[in-house]
This record gives sequence, structure tokens and C-alpha cells, in this order.
Amino acid sequence: MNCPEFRDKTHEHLRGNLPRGEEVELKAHAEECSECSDFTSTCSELTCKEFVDFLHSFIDGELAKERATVFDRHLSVCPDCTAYLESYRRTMELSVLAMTDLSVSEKIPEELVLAVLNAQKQGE
Amino acid sequence: MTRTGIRYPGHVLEERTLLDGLREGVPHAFEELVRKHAGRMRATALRLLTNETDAEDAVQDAFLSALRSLGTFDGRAKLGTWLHRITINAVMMRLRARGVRNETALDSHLPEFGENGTFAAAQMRWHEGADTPALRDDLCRRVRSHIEELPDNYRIPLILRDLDELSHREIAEALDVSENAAKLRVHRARQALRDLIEPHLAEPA
Ligand SMILES: [Zn+2]
Ligand SMILES: [Zn+2]
Repeated sequence: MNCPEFRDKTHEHLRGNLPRGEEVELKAHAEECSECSDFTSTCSELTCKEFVDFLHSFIDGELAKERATVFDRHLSVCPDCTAYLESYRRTMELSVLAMTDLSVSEKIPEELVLAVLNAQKQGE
Repeated sequence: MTRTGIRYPGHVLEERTLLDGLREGVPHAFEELVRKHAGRMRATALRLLTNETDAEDAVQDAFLSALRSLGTFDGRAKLGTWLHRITINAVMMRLRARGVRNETALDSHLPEFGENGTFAAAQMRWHEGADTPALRDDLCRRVRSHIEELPDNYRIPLILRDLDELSHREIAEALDVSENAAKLRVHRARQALRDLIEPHLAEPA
């Protein structure tokens, strides 16, 4: 097993999709490859659910420094959370884009102006 | 030039003159205020209320309430920012008056995780999608309609945070919930919207 294969299979393993027996091969590789062994411990220091549950605090920079480092490290090994974070950010950008209608704020709604002025006069 | 001889940047001076005029009841000062800010205030109200009549009523409430509370405006914030907050207050009053509607959970649009906390399904990368202005407009229209699909108890916090740029604390106050609850609603709303948009942007497998 080579290192990229190890990483793919580790993700499958974490999702519970790895065929039995292949775990042995994973273990064997991790024992002789320190990089992949580090990869495995990084994968298990934070779950995807924890990452996603606090994603908004991570984005807002509200996490303590050490915690944020753990989040960054999780991103470096987790393609799922990387994709989720990207699409979450994109969603935020798109909602701003979709809801900002420039033509609305540029046009002076004459009827509204008159209604407000009338209401003010009646209140005097 | 002001009486004290201090020179202010143009827009500050303009706002001060307008404010002084409003406080002293100078004719047309109020009209000037309305003409200058009604468009943006209407857009703010319309996003939240989604109904033109309600939105215009809220803007009217907001201007009258601004007139009443002129004395409390200390001039440190910009006039536009102050009016924006007053508009949101007026909108929240209307929302409360029209009663709770469409309060549902979003569970079906939240990601699922396996027992060990890993994503139950592999997450897809999104493609850029909107390369031309026409495609971009189309995408924006879809996104807008998905936002409108969200139940009010999530749609409102999302708009207040991402469009009106209120803090979580301000949202909590507006909705009369805890700050944590406000944070969670914004987060869930974005997650649900993400899920609704995904079919338009996810890379085909
Ligand atoms: Zn290796
Ligand atoms: Zn993850």
C-alpha cells in the first residue's frame, strides 16, 4: 500500500466502508510510515461532526487559538470538511449576491415618499 | 464652515446640517431625509418581509419613529446606519404582529454523520457555475427563491446576519432568544440553504 492509498482507505475506514481485513494492511503501513501515522492521529483528534457544528465560530474567528489550529489541521486531512467549508462559504456569498438588488436602493419610490410625508403631517 | 470653525468632511457636515434642520423643524428637512434614505430602507424591509405593502408600512413606521427619537441620536453613528437599525426594529414589530408562521425544523437539510462522527456521505466539490451574466442572474434567482423557502425562524436570522450584518447579540435581542440560539439559527439556516443550492452547483460524479 502506498501513502495516497493509505489516506483514501483511512477515510473509507472512518466512514465505516472499509472491507474487513483491509484494516490489517492499514495498520501495517502506519507502523512503518511515520507521516501516515501522524495522518491517522490527526484524523481522529476532531470528528467531522465537531468541525461542522462549530464551523460558524471557526469562520468568525471566535475559536481559541489552539482550537483553531486543530480545525486547520483537520482541514488538511479531510476532503469532506474542506468541500463542506468551501460550499458553506460560497452559500454565504451567494445569498448576499442574490439578495442585494442594486436597482431597488437606487430608485426613489415617489409614492412611498409621499405616503411618509402625509403620515408625518397627520401626526403633527 | 460650522460655528466653531472646525472643518468636517463633506458628508458629515451634510448630515449635521440635515440633523440640525430636523431638530429645528426647518421646512423640507424631513422630506430631504425621506428622499435620501427611503429607497435603501425599503430594500431592507422588503428582504425581510417579502411583501411590498408590509415593507412600505414598515418604512413609514420607521421614519415616524426616527422623528420621535431624534433626541437620542448622538451623531456618532452615521445617519444611514441609525435609520437602518430603526427600520429593522419596525420590521420586527410587523413580523411579531403578523404572528408566527412557518416555524419548522430543517433537519432534513442538515448533514448526516455516522456513529464515529464522520460524514455519512462523501461531500462534493462545487463548480463555479455562473460564468456568464445570464447564468449568474439565473443562479441568483434560484438562490433567492431557496432563501424564501426557508421557514421564517431561520430565514430572518440568516438575513439579519449575512445581509444586514447585525451581531449575534443584536439578532438575539431582535428575536428575543439567547445569543447562542441566535448563532445556531444562523448556522442552521446557512447549512440548509447550502443543501438547497447544492443540486445547482455540485460537480456531477
Ligand atoms: Zn505512508
Ligand atoms: Zn472532516
